[in-house]
Amino acid sequence: MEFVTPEGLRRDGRRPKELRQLKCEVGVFPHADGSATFNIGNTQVIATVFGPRVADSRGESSTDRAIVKCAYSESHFAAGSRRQRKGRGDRRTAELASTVRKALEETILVELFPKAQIDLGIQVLQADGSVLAACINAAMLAVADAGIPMRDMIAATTVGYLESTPLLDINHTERTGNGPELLLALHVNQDKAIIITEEGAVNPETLEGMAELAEQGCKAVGKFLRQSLLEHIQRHATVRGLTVK
Amino acid sequence: MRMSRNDKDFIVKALQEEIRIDGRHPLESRKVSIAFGQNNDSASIIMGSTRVVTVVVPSLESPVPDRPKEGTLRFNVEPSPMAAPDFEGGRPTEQAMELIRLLEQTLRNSRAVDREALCIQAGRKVWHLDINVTILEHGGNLTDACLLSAVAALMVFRRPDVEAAGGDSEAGGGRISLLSPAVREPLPLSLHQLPLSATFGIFGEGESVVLDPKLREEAAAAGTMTIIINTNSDICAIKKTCGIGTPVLQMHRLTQLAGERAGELMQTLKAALQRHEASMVSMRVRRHASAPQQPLGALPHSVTLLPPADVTDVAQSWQPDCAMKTDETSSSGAAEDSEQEDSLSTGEGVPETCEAGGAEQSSTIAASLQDTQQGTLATKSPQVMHSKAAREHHDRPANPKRIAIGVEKKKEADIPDFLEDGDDLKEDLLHMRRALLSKEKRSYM
Amino acid sequence: MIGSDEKDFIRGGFKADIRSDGRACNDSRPLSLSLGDLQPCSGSARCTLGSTDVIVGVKAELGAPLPDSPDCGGLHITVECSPCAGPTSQGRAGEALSFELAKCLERALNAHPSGRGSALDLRALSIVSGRTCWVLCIDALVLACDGSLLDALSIAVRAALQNTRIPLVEVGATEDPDEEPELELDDDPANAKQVDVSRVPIIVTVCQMDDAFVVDPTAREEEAAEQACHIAVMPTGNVCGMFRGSGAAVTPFALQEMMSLAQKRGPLLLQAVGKSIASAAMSMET
Repeated sequence: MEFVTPEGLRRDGRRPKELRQLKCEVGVFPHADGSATFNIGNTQVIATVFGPRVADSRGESSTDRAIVKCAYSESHFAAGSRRQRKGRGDRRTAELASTVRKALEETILVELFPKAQIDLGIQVLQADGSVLAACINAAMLAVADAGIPMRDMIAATTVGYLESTPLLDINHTERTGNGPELLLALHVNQDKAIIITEEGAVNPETLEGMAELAEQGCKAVGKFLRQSLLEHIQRHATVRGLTVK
Repeated sequence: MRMSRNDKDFIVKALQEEIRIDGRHPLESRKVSIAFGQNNDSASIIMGSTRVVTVVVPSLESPVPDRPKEGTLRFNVEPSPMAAPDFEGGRPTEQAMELIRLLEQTLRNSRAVDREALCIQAGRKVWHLDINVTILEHGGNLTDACLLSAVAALMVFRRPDVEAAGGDSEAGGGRISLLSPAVREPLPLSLHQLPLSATFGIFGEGESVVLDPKLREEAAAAGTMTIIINTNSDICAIKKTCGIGTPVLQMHRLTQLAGERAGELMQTLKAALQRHEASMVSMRVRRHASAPQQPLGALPHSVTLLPPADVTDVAQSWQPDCAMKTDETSSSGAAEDSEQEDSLSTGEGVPETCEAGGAEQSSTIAASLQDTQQGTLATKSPQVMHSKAAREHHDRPANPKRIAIGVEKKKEADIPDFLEDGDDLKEDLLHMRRALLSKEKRSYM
Repeated sequence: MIGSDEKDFIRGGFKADIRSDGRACNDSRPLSLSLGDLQPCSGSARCTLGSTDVIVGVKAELGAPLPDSPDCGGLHITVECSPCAGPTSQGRAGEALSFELAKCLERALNAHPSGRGSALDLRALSIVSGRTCWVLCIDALVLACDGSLLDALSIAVRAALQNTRIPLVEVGATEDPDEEPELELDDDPANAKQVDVSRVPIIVTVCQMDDAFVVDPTAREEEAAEQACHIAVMPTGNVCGMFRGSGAAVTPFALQEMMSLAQKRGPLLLQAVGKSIASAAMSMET
C-alpha cells in the first residue's frame, strides 16, 4: 500500500507534518472531580479524575506523596472490527494504563498530598491510531479540571516513519504499515521528555528526524491544550461573574 | 525496593563526583557471564547479583487461524519470590508485565525470530515455543538481563527436525514424525537482527547518567531509560516510561552509548556460545576402555562419536536390543537373524510404517504424531530413542570392538560368559529374551 | 452509601412530593440524546438523563444463525461500566452490575432465543437461511451512573437501533444449493435498510416508599427507597417485562400502582425520545 503519494500527501489527505483535527472539552461529567474528552481525528478518549482523597489501603499509600491509580478501558466498538473479548487484564491494556499513570505521576505535584490517592479513569471510545498519546492528553486535561497542581503541561504525540518520510500523528491505516513508531510525551514548558517509547527498527539518524518532528508536534498540541484550558477557565469565570484578564 | 533518604542522598552525591557505590565508572557495566544448558534449551545470565534463567520449551500446536503459516511464540517472565523481598508469587506484577511486553515487542513483533520457519504444515501444525524467563535474583537492571537471557536461549536452542509425509490423511499421509537428534541434527532457529538492550539510570535533574544500574542505584534513580539496539545497529525500541523528564537530545547521546554496549554484549554472547558448542562437541566424544586417554581434539581411531543426548543413556539403561544386535552381527547365518535384518531395512526405508512389524527398529520415528493428538517433545519414547542409538552402532561396519563400553557390560550381564556362540543353551536364552522383548514392546506401543 | 439521616430526608421529600433536586414525584430529569457519534458503528446513540450518562454502539456483523433458528438473525448484548464512572463501579462490583444490566436488557429485547416475542424482527436479519445472517451486536457503556440506568440504557438502545443502517446484501445465484453463495455488500448508505424499532420497549424505573411512587430516581433515591421496579413498556403502553431490584417484598397493590405509573410514563418518555431524535437528526443535517 502506498502511504505517501509522490505529491507528498498521506492517505487521508494530510501533509506529513500535519496533525489531525484536535477537539477537546473540559469538565464534561458533573460526578467526577475532573473530566475531559480529547479527540484527535477519529480517536476519541474520555478521562475522569477522582480525588485526591484518602487512600483506599494504607499499605499502598505513601507518607510523603499521593499515589496515582489508573484504570483503562477500550470499548467493544472502539476499533473497526468488534473484538470478541478484550478483558481488562490483558497485557497491552495493563501497559497502557501504567504508562499513563507514570506520565501523570511525574507531572502532578504528588508530594503536596501525602497519604492520598488520585484515581484516573480512561475510556477509549474510538481508537484510530495515537491512542496512548490521546489518553495522556485527556488525562492531563482532566487533572487540570480537577484543580490538582501540576509541574508543567504535558502534551503527547506519535510519529511514524513510512516510505522514508516521518509522519506526524499516524492513524490506524498508517499503523498497518508496520513502520517504526515513536511516542513522545513532553513537558512543554520545561522542554523535557517524560515518556519516550519507540517500536520498530530505525537507524539513529532517522530517529533524530522523528524525534524532532515529535517535539514540534507536542508543542503544537500543547499550545492547543493550553488554549482550551484558558477558554474553559474564561467560561467558568463568566458564569460566576468574575473577570479574567 | 524502598530506601532511606540518607542512602539515596549518598548515592546521588557520590555520583556527582562520578563515583558509584560499587566503584564502577558511570558508563561501565557489570561483568556478564552466560551459561548454557546441556540440552541446548536454556541459558542463564549472571550480571553482578542479578541472575536470570530462560528455558525454551517447544511443542507442536495448531497455528492461529489468521496466520496459518507462522509458528507461535509465547513469552513469560516469572519473578521468583526468592529473587527479591518485595516479589510475591501469584498474579503477575506490573514490572513482569512490562518485561513480557518488551520481549514480545523486540523478539516477536520485530520479527527477530523467523516465525515462518517454524511452520511444519501450513494451517495444521506449527512449532510453538514457550520462552520462560525466571528471575532468580534481582540485583537491578532486570530488563537487560531478561532480554539477554532470552536472546541467548533462543540462539542456543535447537529444535528437532521433522518429516511431514505428503498425501491425504487417509493413506497415512500428513503424518508428522519427529526425528530424534541421533538421526538428524536438531536445527537452530532462524534469527535475524537480534536485539540487545542497554539500560541507563538517570540521576538528579538528569545531568548524571549511569549504565547498568544495580538495585540500590535503581531505587535512588530519578528515572530510567532502556534503549534496545539490534545487530544491524538499528534502534529497535526505546522505553522511557518512568521518572523525570530528559531533554530529547540526551536520548540521542544515550543511543550512541547503547550501541557500544549492545556490541559488547553480543561479543560476550557469541564467545560464550562458541565455548558452549566446543564443549558440546567434546561431550559427544566417547572413548574405549582400551583406548589410552588422549587430549580432546585429536581423535584417535578407536574413539566413537555418539549422538549427544544418548551418551549416558546407552551406558546406563537396560539395553537388550544392543546386546542382541551385537550378537546378531557376530553370529551370522541364523534364520531369525536374517529375518530381523529384513524388517530392519524396510523399517528404515519407510518411516510411515512405524506401526508395522519393524516398529522397534524403525530408525526415523522417535514419536509419531497423529493428526488430532497434540504431541510435545516430552512424549517421545525413551525406549525407541535408545534402540536407535544402538542401531547406530549396529549400522557401522560390523566390528564388535567398536561398541561402547556400557553396552558390552550389559551383554556380559545378560548372557553368561561361559556360553559360546552356537551353543544350544545360548540360542534358547536368546530366543526367550527375544520373545519377552517383543511382548514388552507391544505393551509399550 | 448514604447515611440514615440522609435517607430519612429523601423519604420525607417523597412524602411531601418535593425531591432533593426540586422535582415532584412523577417528574423526570432532562433527557438529551445524540446520534451517530461513533464512526466505526452501524449505529450509535448517547443518552444523558440528568447526570446518568450511557453510550450505545450497534454493529451489524455477518455471522451464522443458530442451528435451532436458521431463519433468524442474531442479537448480542453487552453492558460495561467504564472506568470513568468512578472507582466504585470498578472491579467485581462493576462486573456484577454490568452483568445484571445486560441480563435485563436482553430479556426486554429478546424474550426467547428463537426470536418469538422478540422486540426486533430477527427474521428480517436473515440473509441465507441456515447459513448467513446479520448479527446485531449491541454494546452499551455506562459512563456515569446516577440512578435509572436501565431507563437511560433502553432509550439509548432504541435510539441506536433507530440510527442503525444495515448495508444491502445481494446474494449471488448458485446452482448447487450446498455451495456457499457469493454475497455482495452494497456500500451506498442510501440503499441501506433500517431496523424496525416499533416494538422495542422502554424500561421505566419506579421507586416506592410507603404510599409515594417515584419515577426516574437518582442513585441516592434508589438507595433510600424501599424498593425499585424496572418495568419494560411497549410504545403502545403495554407492559412487556418487569424486573425487580433489591428491596423489600412488594404488595400487589403497590405493584399495580407502579405498573400503571409506568404505563403512563412510557409513552411520554417515548415522545421525548422521538423529539430528541428528530432534533438530533435536524442538527446533523445542518
